[in-house]
Amino acid sequence: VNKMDIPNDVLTDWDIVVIDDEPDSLEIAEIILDAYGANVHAASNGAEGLTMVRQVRPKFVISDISMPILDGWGFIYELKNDRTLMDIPAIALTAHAMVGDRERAIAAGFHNYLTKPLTADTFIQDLLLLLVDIPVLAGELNM
Amino acid sequence: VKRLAMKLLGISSLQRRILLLLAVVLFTTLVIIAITFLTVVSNAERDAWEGRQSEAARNATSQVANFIERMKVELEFIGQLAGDSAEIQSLIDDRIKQNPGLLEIVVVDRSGAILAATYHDEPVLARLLTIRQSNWFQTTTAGNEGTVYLGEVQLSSQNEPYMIMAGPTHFGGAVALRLNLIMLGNVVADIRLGETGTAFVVKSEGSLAADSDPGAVVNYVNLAGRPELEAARQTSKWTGAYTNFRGKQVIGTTNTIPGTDLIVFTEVEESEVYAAGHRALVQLGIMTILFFDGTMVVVTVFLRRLLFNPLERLQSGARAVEKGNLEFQVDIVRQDEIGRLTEAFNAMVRRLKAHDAERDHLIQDLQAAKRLAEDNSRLKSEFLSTMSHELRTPMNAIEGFTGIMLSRMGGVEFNNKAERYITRVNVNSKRLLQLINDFLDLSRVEAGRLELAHQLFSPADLARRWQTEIGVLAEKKNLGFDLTLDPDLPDLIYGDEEAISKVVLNLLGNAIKFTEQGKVSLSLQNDGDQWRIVVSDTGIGIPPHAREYIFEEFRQVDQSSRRKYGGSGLGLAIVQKYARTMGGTVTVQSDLGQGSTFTVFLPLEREHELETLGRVV
Repeated sequence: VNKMDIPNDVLTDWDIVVIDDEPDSLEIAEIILDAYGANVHAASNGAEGLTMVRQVRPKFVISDISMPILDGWGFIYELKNDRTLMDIPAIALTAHAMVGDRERAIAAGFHNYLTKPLTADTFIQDLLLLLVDIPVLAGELNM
Repeated sequence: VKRLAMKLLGISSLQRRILLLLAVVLFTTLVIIAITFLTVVSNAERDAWEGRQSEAARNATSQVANFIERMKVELEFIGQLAGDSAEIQSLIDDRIKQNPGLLEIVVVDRSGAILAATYHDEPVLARLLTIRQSNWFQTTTAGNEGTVYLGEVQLSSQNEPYMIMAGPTHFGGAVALRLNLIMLGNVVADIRLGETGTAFVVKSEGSLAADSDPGAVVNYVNLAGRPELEAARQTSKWTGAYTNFRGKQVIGTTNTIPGTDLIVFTEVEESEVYAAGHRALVQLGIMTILFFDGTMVVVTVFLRRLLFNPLERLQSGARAVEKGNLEFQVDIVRQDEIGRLTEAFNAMVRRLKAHDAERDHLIQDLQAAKRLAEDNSRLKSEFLSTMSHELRTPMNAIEGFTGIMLSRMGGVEFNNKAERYITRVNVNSKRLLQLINDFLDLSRVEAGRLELAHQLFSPADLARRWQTEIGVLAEKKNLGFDLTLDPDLPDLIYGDEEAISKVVLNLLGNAIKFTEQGKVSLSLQNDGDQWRIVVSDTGIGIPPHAREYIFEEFRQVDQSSRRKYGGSGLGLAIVQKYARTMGGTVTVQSDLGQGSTFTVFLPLEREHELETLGRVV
């Protein structure tokens, strides 16, 4: 997937919840996803994120791991143990690729993971590569 | 067999060995003493018996000889009588009354006619019608002066044994006496020798003439052909051991009565002769065994008290020490060699205890030092982790926002100049982020905090991922990219994909950076118990002098190269450190201006056979 090939409306009208305790990182994600047409709902920790997910029932969730109050592990545990939410795909956001992170994230219930930094160059490509792997979402992409 | 014997006898124990040796020596000594003593005793006993027997034999011989002599005296006395028959008759009537040994007396003339005859029981000689034909008459009248005829042992009609003795008269006739062998039997019956000793008289041709048991004589017992008789006939005096005609094992002595063919046997049963010896043997045997047992008990008790018990205490002490009880001290009972050994043992244990205390102290010190080092290491690790987060977060923000501006997202507007400047900020933030990441990677390896995964992965799939990632960069510079996979390389091997990727992506990144035209090649090869990843390019190459230090941190070929190509100078250091941590090596070959080849050797750990089987099934 080349960035140039990605239409600006690929995520039009998708509700996406992004959870991150770093305001800068959160805002960058919001701006980029917004640029492709998504309705981004931001939360600054896992607890807020859960409330938000229940409220808007997003297409998918992107969650940072290291956060105060309820971290990414706690969030995915709650999400996957709630019958009404367990079908919502979640993608982990890690600070820096560490050995075993991917396995650990998938074992905990995340669909996959993305590595920071989120940049305008690569974020949307990497995200779409993961989304095409999720059958319920792949068909709804505006591509 | 030897081992079995040793096991049964308990030879493996020193105590048993010493006691066994002592027992053997003591027992042998006792047996030798007992045998010597017994020999002396039985020799003395036999000598004593020999003396007694020879005395008894002499006595018996002289008694029998006396009897015969008295009869001879009668014979001669009657033979010298002169006068008429009536005179002779009255004389012989008187003699037969006087001498109970006489049963009958007959006096005949030269022609064999009876001149006078008398008898106690019945007439035997006098009734003979054929006196002339009788042995005694013919022998006596044959003119052999001085010889006395002694006839066979015969029985009267009352079954009383007798023997005829005859001699000449001075007038040319003959006197015959019938001797009462019961009287002779009474004579020998009176002879006593110990409990079983007996005497009897035998004529040299073998017939029994007198015995304490008259029945034997009556039954015509004959010793003819018996070895003791043969031996007795050879010499006038003989002694020997034999089984006698009564079937008894005896020691016998024989004497011939001078002037007759009568042999006196004196016999005593061998069992009586050796009885004392046997009693001595039994008593001595019992005494020997008692003495042996007593001595062994005493020796055992002493050995246990002096040697084995202290040794056992020492042994249990050693066991206790072996089990870690260094407080143990063995009691010292005596100041002998064992006492001194015990003292030395106790001293050794005290010393050991001191050493132990010293060692425990050292261990505590070392543990404290180790804890400190671990704390330091943990602090360093925490520091690294915090630093990586704290450094990256602002850099991520800078790169993120400049990237958004350059992509015109979020509705921002700016002019060309601003775009140029923002681009510089974005590029530099990327460089700085790369430097920070490299630096943190390197620090993590050096702090020993790099934890390697050990998971099955497909090297071919991994290589294709690298191809996707690097292919884009190669395309941008119009470079070719070749991927070669060795068919011998296993489908799945063990390793850490992330760490291997870090090494290979660094090498591939360098190859593209330093190559202006041509191509970059990646090749995966099987190499026995290793596998190789070869990255080659057609770039500028590395001058020989630089090959020595390109793997060091912050070293590039030279300063102009740094300005021209950028980069942190940490890439190859990371490559080498990661490869080494995985148990591998990195080598480089290069021709200046022609290109470079980096080869990474990694240990090859195949999928286990069972897993393969499992998948095939």
